[in-house]
Amino acid sequence: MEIAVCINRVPDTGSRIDVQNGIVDASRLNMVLNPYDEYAIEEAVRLKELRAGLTVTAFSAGGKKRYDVLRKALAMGADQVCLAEGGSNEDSYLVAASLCKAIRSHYSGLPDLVFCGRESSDSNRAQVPLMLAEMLGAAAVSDVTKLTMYEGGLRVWREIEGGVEEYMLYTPAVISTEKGLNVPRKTNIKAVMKARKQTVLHLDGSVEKTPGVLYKDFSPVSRERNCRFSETAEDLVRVLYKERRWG
Amino acid sequence: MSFFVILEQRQGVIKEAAVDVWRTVQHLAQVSGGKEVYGAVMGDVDTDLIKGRCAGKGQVYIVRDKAFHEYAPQAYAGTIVEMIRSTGSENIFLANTAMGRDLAPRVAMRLDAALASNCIVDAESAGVLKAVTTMYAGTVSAVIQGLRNRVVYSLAPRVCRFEEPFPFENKVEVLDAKGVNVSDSIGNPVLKEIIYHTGRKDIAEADIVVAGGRGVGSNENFAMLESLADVLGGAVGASRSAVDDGWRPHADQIGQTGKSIAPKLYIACGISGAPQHLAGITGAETVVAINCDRDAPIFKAADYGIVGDIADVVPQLERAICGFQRVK
Repeated sequence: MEIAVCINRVPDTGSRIDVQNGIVDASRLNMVLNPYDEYAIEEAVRLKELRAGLTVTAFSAGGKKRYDVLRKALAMGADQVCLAEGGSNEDSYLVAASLCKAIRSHYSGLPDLVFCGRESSDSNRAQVPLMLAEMLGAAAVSDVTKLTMYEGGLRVWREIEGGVEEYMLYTPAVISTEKGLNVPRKTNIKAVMKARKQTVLHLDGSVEKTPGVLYKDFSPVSRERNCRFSETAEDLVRVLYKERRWG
Repeated sequence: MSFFVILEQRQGVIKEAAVDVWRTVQHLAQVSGGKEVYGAVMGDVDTDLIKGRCAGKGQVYIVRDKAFHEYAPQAYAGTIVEMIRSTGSENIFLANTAMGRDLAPRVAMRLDAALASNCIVDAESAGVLKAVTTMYAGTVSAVIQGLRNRVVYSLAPRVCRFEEPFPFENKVEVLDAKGVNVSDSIGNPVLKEIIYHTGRKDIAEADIVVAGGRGVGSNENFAMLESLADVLGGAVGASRSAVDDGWRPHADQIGQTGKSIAPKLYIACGISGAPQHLAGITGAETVVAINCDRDAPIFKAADYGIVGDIADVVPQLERAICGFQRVK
């Protein structure tokens, strides 16, 4: 059984994002593995630990700077890692197309499962997993918080407003992983050292397609509000009511 | 050129978020020169109920198939795409809910449309639509320019509140969709079951949200917040640390790795206000913060504040509200 995991490299979520002249300045940011992708890798590795003959391969679309996140995937337990080179990361559509090409060329046919993080913590689009599923012609469920596997299929759960949905689906399938699915393991120094020696496969991720959207005119968002302090709860309630904030 | 709205229903009721999208689109259609508006409802929903919820001008088509009463990703996408093709609509709108996030990319891909996710849309001069979204956990805004003939917009929750936009005459026609090829098979995946949480409101849909963070101190202390929320008719949310400590379920988490909420009133109790948390509350109309640390960043993002211990202030607040409600 084959499991592919698609991973991305994003600024550390604690980073301050600088915007200059409508463009995000990413040059000084500390880049890490996308947090949602950690759930994806963890789930794939857990399934591998439960079953014999299961191979986990991580894919990332972009340049050699992504060696660091691919090596992290190896240290977490992926068997092999592939870099889909030559594509563009302009929008989700092109990223999905690049990953699709690399996945198709790596496997004969499709892998049984493709795990992706729910979204990337930088662009917050949540588009790549479902776009990739459409391109691969695979079934998909997004934002999965619980998963069990049986022969030929899966049972998965996803949270909706005010409840939980349970789905059955057959493989090949794309699953996007949400917080709550598992607790990603910490990597140990031995695994990190071993990962450093493993080779990164290079695959052709070039696509002759145009992006679906263009993002422009970036600008910082201020969240500052003018806080008025009340001394007592009674004062606060009076003010809230008077200013029609409540009631 | 026309506008197409995918109206989400759950349990036979059009979602509040979908009604907000409908109102936004009515507004956009009006300011861009009276464009046609089409709506689609999947599943058996009462015609009068739709008329009561969706005012303005346009035609709403109901696909009355039992199989569509609950979300069926493949069949929904296939049928909706067919309806959009037959109306020729170039701008497609839906709410950025759990269903919308799942459905929008499927529909966009099948239509070869651009996808503008989690955005707000305004009409500029000459009816050109402008979509703006946020990235980097809500700290940066960006304009989305669609590069295809069609664009699918998933609208951020509740940012556009028209109280009574088109009250005069409801000219909406509600029709049963005819000639739509309802696919025989639901496809893959199949929704087996939905379990709705009983007795509590979802934070993403509540008008008032009371949330607690590390400062609440324990799982048990959340009872104070529950009690306050009950008095206000609101829902209880939590910060990441309260969820990571196991005090509350992930479904209640507000912020970057949780939900973005847009209530009328948000009361943050013992939440320090990390940027990742603030990302989830930018849509809140009014923010009240209660924290024992006057320098906590949450106060910079709040409209009203009380410096004090949660264990004292929250029950006082509840009593004050009860007292006020009695007087009223």
